Amino acid sequence: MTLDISRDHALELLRDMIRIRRLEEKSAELYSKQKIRGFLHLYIGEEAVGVGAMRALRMDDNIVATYREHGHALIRGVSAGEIMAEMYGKANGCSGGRGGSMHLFCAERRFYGGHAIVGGGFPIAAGLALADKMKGEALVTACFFGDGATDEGEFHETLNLTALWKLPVLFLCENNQYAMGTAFERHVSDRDIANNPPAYGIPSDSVNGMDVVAVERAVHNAAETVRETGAPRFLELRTYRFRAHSMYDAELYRDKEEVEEHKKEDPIATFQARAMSEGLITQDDVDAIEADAAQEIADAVEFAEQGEWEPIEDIARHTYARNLP
Amino acid sequence: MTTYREAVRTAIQTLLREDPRVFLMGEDVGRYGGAYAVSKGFLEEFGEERIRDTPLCESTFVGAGIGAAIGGMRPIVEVMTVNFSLLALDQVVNNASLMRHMSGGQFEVPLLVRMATGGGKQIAAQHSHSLENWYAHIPGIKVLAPATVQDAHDMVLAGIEDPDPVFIFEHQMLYGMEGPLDTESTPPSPWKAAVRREGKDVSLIAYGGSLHKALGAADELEKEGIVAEVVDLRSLRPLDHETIVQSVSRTHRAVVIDEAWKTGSLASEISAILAEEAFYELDAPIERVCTLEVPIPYAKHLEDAAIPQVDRIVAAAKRSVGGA
Amino acid sequence: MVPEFVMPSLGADMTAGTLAKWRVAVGDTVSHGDIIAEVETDKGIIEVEVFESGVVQELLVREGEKVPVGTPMAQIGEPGAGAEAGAAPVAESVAEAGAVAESAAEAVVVAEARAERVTPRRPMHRGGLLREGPMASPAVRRRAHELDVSLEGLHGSGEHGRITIEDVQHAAEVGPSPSVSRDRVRISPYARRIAADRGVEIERIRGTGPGGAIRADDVLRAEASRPAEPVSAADRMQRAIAAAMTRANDEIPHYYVEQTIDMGAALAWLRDFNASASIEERLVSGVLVLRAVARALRKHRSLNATWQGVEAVPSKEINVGLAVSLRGGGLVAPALRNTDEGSLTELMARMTDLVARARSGTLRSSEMTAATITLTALGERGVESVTPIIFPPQVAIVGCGATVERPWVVEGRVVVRPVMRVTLGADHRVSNGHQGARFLSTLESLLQEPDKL
Repeated sequence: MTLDISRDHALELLRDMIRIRRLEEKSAELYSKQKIRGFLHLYIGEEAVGVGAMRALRMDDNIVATYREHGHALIRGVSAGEIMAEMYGKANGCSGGRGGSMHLFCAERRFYGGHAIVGGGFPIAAGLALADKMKGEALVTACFFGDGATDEGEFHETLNLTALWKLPVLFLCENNQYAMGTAFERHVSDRDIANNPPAYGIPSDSVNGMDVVAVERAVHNAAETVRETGAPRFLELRTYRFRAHSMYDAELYRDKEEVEEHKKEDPIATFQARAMSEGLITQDDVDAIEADAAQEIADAVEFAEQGEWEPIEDIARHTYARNLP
Repeated sequence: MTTYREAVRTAIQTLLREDPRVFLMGEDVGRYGGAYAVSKGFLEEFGEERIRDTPLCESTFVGAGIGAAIGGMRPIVEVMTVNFSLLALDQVVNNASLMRHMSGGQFEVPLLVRMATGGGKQIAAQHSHSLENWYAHIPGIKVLAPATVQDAHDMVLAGIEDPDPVFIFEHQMLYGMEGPLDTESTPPSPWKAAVRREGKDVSLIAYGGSLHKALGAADELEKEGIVAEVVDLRSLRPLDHETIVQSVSRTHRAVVIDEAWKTGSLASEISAILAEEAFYELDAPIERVCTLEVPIPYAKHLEDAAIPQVDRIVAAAKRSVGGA
Repeated sequence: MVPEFVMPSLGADMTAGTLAKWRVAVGDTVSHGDIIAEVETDKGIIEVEVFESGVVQELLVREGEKVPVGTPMAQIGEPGAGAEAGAAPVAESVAEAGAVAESAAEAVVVAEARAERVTPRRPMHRGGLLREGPMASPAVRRRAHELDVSLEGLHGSGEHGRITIEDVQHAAEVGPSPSVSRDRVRISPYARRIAADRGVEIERIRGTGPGGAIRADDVLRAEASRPAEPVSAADRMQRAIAAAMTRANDEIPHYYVEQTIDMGAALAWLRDFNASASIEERLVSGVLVLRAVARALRKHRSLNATWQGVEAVPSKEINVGLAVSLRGGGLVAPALRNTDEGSLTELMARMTDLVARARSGTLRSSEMTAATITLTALGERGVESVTPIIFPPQVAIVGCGATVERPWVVEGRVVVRPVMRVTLGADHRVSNGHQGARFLSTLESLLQEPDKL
């Protein structure tokens, strides 16, 4: 089966996936050098999900993401510099240095975070969709979450509420097989996660999340259905995280062989190979993309390095609209 | 004269009529008319779209309120009682209070959450909590405790007007209370404490349902020649330091009445504020009249003994004044 | 500069890691992202990657070695570059860290952490951190640790307030000293404030609150009942004495030590001296005792001090105050400055003058405040021993009874000797019984050699 996309389209998909990966590799390096602190959760291996999904959504749709959201923010249009500066904790970061890696926000791009309590984003997504519905706006709220979040009560509550109230939420489950260190089959009773939503009357489907083109198509179709019907839908995107859960993780819970096996499905390598074999792109294209990405990341680091620290006197800012007495 | 219930209802009704962004959601707010009958008749007047009966999922409907507020609406979420609000604490503590700060000021949550609080109705341990102090602990949200009919009305209006998440705790014993309601005048700031009765010998500092017990105690004390000042905190976050410090600077004695358990209570906080800011005004140890450190019992005599009552306030005030 | 591979920081709570295994050897070519080593952390073994590309020139850390985050672990050079180009001066970098540590207390931690990997020796220099704490020798600190005594707030009776082993042992026996407070009257903060504003002496107020606590009303009552007419000088004095004695009794933890001293030698010397002296130059035994007390204090400075709120400050001069009873019933204790200096004749003259002026009410104010210790001698009233109360802010007082003849054992035989009982009352916050006893012992020795006084 061929990719059935244009050369430009192929170049864009490959470019975006490579941008995410290089940004994150640099983040890991800077974390090791203590430029970035706190928790750092890398998306490496899962880029096809973020790229495919983001490209399928419209800029006026709402995005609610998790703490593994650097890629989502980047493809949504938050600059690498603002993301990197945020991870540095600088005032020129996309959350003013108050959020860090797990709490990237961008009002202009309707990027509603950056949520680090697993399952905490579901009700927010429902509320955003409720607001759109009440305002009569035919928008989609895309809610990203991992397989671990489906254990939470809020997942089931939100499926119930959005189905009952017909709220335009697109549930995007990034099933990377692990809830931190607990394997999927050890934390979910029904191994087919897509079985849950139909119990609430929500149509669901599963997609190979390592195939960026498949993700893009599936998310596009699902989003347009949500837009038309105003009712929720659910997509499971089966993927795999190549890196540890966070930087400080000895990965006692999975075998190296398992990781190596999944790396054969590396979404970037496989897509690049297919696009080249189909004659859509050349090695020169890939080299140019890599060079551009390297420059973009270098500029981002420079932007972060040059950023200012917010003065401590301003610490109370943004706690309330106006500082309390 | 208007009841407290009617005052809350009038305020919500005014908002629903005037602002299309305002809607009410919660368990049994529609067909049932509200567990405390605050929203009776609203479904007929405003329809299913704006008067939303929710499933029993406190975390999700409070969170949906947060999302809708971020999305440009002005939701009023009724969490039947503070007891059930515990299921929604994650959304309050991790989302409502943090969104503005974590996003560097990009997102605000103009949400109003109302709930009933307190004991006194023999509804036993799981339905008689007073946990306002848990909420008052959290930066990023604001907490109001209307004790009068006027405040029950005004605070709803103020809560919707505020750009930050506001939590209103309505004491369940007050819904039937009657008092004057003025819907014409400009209300005073909800964030300031009020002196409900002036006095010179001792300050009785209370809020919510306890205010009326403090006023009752002041009547008793007056018979014995002790003139108590009664301060109504009104706002639990922010706390109005100025008014309480000024009152105690006049009376030099303080009794703090709080239906919460004493340990870690708002009464503790008020005491600490007085120790920090009014130390040289204190002529007697600060007294706290709080709920005994036991679950609230069902049996009436035990419940009465557990929660603050007029006689305990009177005794504390007398100890403070030194006449006992 | 040759790129270094350093111990990475994998989490904010990771301060060090143990190199479990090198996955590369010198001479290997590595590239960005390669796993170069396995590091054991609190969370388990983590594979760590290298962010440089090149040839491994030198491995600086052995397997099994634990090093702090940031420690260079390997030199990565350009392909073909010599190994010596990247010789890592690890020792130097430790020395550097040490140098920085001299100027910044924070860096001490770094130096310590780094020193840990090179040598187990603790860094010698710990900046100014210790100097701010209480002065105590290592032995004292160890003893304090053994006895679980906190040195913070412990009064040092040693030189310049240095804490001694005795201090620690004493603290262990009596428990922590009560928090330092100049005034332990039970009084509300507000009452204290208005009493100060209105000039009402707290000592005069009767408290009606719980446990006798003084409250604002009590202050106002005391103010209202304050006599309109000025009180007599004698009344004022009596009140001042009462206040001082009450305060002393409430505030100062007194201890007492007593010794009976053989006055035979002193009285014999006095007889001889007076026999050849003119009437004006004759001495009384009291002046010998006075001088002996002053001279003994030279060796026991912890008794010659004043309490300054939180600690005792040793006095430079030795000014013994002499308790003088007045005919109207009052009591004063004016000081004889530098009681330890000058001739006995001179001291006798000064003492006579001082007592006369005390009784005539013509003391200078400096004489009223200069005393660094007080001597009260009630022998002429016939009492044999005195248990006196310290005059604040002094920290000791010496009481002498009458010199009386008593059976006394000298060289195994019972003889009759004139003896005097001397009592030292002292502030236990400042000195202890051992010190008090040694003082009396010194006093006793001095009185056996009166010619040297």
